[in-house]
Amino acid sequence: MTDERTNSDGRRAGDVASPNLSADGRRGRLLDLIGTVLVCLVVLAGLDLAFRTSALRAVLDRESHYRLRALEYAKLDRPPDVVFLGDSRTLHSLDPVAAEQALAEAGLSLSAYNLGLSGAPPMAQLTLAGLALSREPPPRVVLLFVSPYMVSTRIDPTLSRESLHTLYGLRDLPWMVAAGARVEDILDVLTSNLFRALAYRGRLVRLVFDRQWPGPPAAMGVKGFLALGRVPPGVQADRARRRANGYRTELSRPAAAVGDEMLGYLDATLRRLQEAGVAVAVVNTTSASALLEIYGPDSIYDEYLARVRAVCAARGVPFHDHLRNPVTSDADFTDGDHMNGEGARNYTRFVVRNVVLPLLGAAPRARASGTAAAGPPSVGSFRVEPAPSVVPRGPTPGARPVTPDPAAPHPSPLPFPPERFDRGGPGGSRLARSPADASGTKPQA
Amino acid sequence: MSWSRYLPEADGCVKRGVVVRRSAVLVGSPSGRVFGSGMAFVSYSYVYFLLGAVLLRWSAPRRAVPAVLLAAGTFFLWTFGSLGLALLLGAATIAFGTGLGMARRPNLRRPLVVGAVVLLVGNLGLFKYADFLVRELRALGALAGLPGLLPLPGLAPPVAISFFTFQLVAYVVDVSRGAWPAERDFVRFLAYATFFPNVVSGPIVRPAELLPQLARPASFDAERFSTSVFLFLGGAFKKVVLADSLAPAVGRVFDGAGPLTAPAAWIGALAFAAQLYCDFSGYTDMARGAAGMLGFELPPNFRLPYLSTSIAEFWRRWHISLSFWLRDYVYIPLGGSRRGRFRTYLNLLGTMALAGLWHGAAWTMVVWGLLHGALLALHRAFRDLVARRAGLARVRASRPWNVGGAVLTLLCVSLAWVFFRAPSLRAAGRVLRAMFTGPLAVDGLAEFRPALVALAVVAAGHAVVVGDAPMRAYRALSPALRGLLWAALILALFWFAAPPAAFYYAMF
Repeated sequence: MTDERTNSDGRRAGDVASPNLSADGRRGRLLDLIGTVLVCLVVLAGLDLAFRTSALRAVLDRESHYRLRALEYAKLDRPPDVVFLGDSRTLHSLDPVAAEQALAEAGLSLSAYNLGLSGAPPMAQLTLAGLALSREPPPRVVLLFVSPYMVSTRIDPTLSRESLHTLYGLRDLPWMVAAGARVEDILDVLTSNLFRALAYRGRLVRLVFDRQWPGPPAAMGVKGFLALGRVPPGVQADRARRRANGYRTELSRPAAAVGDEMLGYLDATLRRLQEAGVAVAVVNTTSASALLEIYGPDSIYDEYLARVRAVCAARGVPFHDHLRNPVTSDADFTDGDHMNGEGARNYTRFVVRNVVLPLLGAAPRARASGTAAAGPPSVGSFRVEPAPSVVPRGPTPGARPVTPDPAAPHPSPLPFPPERFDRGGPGGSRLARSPADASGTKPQA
Repeated sequence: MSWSRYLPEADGCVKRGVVVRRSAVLVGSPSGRVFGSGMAFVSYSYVYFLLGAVLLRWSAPRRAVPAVLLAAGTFFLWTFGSLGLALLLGAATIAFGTGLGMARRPNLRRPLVVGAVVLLVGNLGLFKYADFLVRELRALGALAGLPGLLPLPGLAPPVAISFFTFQLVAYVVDVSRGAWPAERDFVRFLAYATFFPNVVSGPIVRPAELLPQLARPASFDAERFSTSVFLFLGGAFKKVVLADSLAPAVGRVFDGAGPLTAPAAWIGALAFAAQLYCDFSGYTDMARGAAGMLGFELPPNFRLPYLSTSIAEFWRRWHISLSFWLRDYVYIPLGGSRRGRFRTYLNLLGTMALAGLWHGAAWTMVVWGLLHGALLALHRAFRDLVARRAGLARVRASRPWNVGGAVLTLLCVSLAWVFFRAPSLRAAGRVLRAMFTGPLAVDGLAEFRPALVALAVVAAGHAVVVGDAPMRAYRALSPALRGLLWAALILALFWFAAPPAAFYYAMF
């Protein structure tokens, strides 16, 4: 260090640069600047246009489950009347064909569609709602299926924000503002809709630098529903346990918390649908029993449930808690979250009867005597005593999960109390119906 | 939108309608919800904000420019949190009032300036060092069998506090010395204090460098605007493409716990030296570019520091605004080099220890500062010794001497950076041990390839760039070629931007 008190770059204090230029000189420089800006914009816009119209873009669209889903929905001959929104739990657990059958049995000729997407939290559901509303006429009923992981602050941002670049369009911007979205996300959507290549940036970088070539088109299933095959009970139990372990990070306090961001998107989604005249309901999804262990008091589950209920109550939207419902058991699952095809069919019928039909104002077919038709059963949170008699009692959270013995024959259902519930579908009840109800014969030992 | 309505009343989380969380008040604040932890320089938010500020600045009448900049700066700081904004405005008001007070009552200069400096530095000390101090006292207390006597204040330093404190201290001291007249326009002064291109991470701007420009805002100069855009994009390139490419390798070396080979340790240390340079000089270029687009000139903060042939020259080329601030407001008031050799060495040690502490409340930073102080003292002693030998004058001017000096300086600086980057003294020791005693195995170095490429680019840049060469080359280009260069830089950002690491100096 020296003692000279000189300005850091030798200039005198207060020196202000003031070029002595004629008006023509200044005009010339301004034109040069405009030329520079125009050349830059033309080059960038040209490259973007080339990408937009390229075969590469088409291939990348077909490879992306998110983008292809939007494209396929837009090409439907007839927009559906009932739409299911949610993540992969919805994608694999709500069968539109079964829904249409159940609706037909109630005397309604309505179509259904599954707009579930893997990893799609309320942020994605907002734009999917916009997609559903983009067809005329809009759906009559939309069900939003939610899970506690969707609102966890520990959720993988890459996955949870996938929709920003794959689905969001300029029409979603006002709703993002309504959802209280971060300014950066709003501007991200705006900019990546102006320069489309930005939306594909991550994929293009992986293509060029990691040589991840485009894969085959994403599977779309039937009416958006992807059926999974049945798996042996031991496999299901093992998968469910591993999945439960994986979810601990996202659900366990104090590291995890319920984030406001996704609740804001949920609220905006409900509002968007309601303002379009759509009947909406929110459903808390069901899980295999192994996952119930991680929903205990040390998790964010109770707060998640309470806050989602509060959002629904504020919007006057019915909320249904299907975590422990009378129709599903571990046998219906392929892992902790996703049902097999048969389980999906049965659960879908349950959803139609208990959620869709009430929204449409149509009463479900009369139940077997002795059961009060009091609407969908509410199991409440783990700190609330469940309502007696009609509410099935599943495994107690925090207790050892009910894991079928791999050596046992086809799994016995969960120890629900006898339930008189006419499902009307093939295969009969999943529950331990009163033995006298089942085919009139005495139960086998 | 009131988020509190989503909380069940029995939850206990709602207190007078405000969401209270232990993590940070910011989460419940409006700015936190919409801007997260503030407007990063490399973000859509900042780019659109800058465009808006530029449009407003050039469409506003000249006399309204300070007000426009104040509004922009206030909004910019608000995105980082209301507390930081309130602290800065409060500190600026104290500095402004002190300046006016000294102008009106010259006989009260000394108590006024001392009071203002105590308040400003005390504010910095409270928010930045209180936790550190209490933690260390608690640790001492635990050793003495008295744990947990003092509660942790839990104060997190608001953004920009280190920079705006030094900037405002410079103002009140300059006014007290008569080096600069007290500013009488409050709006103009606040615009100076909240000038958004430099408020978060410097350069630390003296009143003489910015207040005259605010008093007489320049008219639009298309050539300056064009070079400023180039400077901005070039800075973003340094940060996003080079610095962020180096970050993973640095993290692997410094934040890991496993054994390190000597090559990996050296690559990590050199990569950090390059990362910090690209990150900070990149940020500074973006700050100067943004200021230039607004018609203001900020002083340069870096002049190819790794070409320095001595540690003293390094501090004339690295973070220039800070080193000159330390010289003018700490080193010289302590006596500088006027009180004998021993006192000079002490002054150097003390000044650089303070520099270390300014960078962070951690012992690693203090060690880093002391190392530089020791190096400066050693250099001074060596320089004095060599100066007395006339026969060495030609040797000292020779190329091998300068090259040797540059290599030695780079080596010393890189070793000192290990303390700057390491999360603890133990971690620094681990890296240093590996550098000098680690196995020489070269397998496993493939994962450092991106970092080596970035290092090569930085080294090549230092080798070929002389003085202001890039800017001179840019000015020689035709408008079309400039447009292509802008597009190329933007495309480079598109292709090479990794998930962005935060600006390193933003944490100071």
